[in-house]
Amino acid sequence: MSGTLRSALGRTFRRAALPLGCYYAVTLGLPIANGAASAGSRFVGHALVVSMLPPMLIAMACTLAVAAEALRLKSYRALRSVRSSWRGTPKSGVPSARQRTGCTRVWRFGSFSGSPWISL
Amino acid sequence: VKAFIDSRRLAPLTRPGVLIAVALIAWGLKRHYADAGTDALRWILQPTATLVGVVSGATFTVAPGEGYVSHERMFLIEKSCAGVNFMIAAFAMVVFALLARVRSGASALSVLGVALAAGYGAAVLVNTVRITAAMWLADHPVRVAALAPADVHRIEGIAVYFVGLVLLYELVRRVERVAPGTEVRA
Repeated sequence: MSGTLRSALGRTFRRAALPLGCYYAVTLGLPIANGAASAGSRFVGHALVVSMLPPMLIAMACTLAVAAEALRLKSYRALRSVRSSWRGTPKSGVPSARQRTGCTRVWRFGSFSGSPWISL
Repeated sequence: VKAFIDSRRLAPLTRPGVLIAVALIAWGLKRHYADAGTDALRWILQPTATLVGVVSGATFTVAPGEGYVSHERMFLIEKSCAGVNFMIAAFAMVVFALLARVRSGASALSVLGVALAAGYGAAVLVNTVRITAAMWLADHPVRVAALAPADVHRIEGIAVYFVGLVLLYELVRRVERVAPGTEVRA
């Protein structure tokens, strides 16, 4: 399991702790308090499904979200590398033609006086 | 009355009071659900049946003592479909999510009221989704070797109820973030 997935799983389980706790309290806690545990293997089977399915759903949703994010990041990087090969975009993400330099040549309206180079 | 008005001083006592109220309301709902017949659960079954009818296109009529029946779809919404357990879970969860807002008697009452309304609304909506999905599954049975149709129905119920709880929690968190009087987080 990658570190990203592990941390995402931990985050998601912490975030879903309250709904999960309330769900377990009502679907398992209340029946046990009412004596449903004495029903034996039938209740055990039900309890197994009820207790296993929500964490499985969380893990599945989290894995899908992490995979989708990784795919999005990968496609973004691929697109960026294609664009940089077309336009000469440096790795910083700012196109070289738009990068600020110490001075830039500009056209001055009106009468020309002085140097055509001004500092920006 | 003065103590109620100046109840900010009572904040340490209010939150345990809210928790006791939650336990009493949940116990009362559970007791009512256990003792009541289908007709006494009309307050939750009728809006559910109406919404399921709107979503699925089926017509549900009252069958006294049994619930709401759709003759053309051969489907009965009975007591076990009421979703009162979900309502209890949703109510308790919303109260816990909003517990930090309880600073006075008035805010405690408003949190309990909001949680009851949210629990009821969520129960009707989520139950509608669950029953509509169950009707669809009844028309298009899923063949899974290890699972009987009853197991598929149970798994569908667990998934819909749990996802419904998580979505309600996310909604409450979002509202809590943007609601006035609370710290807005980025």
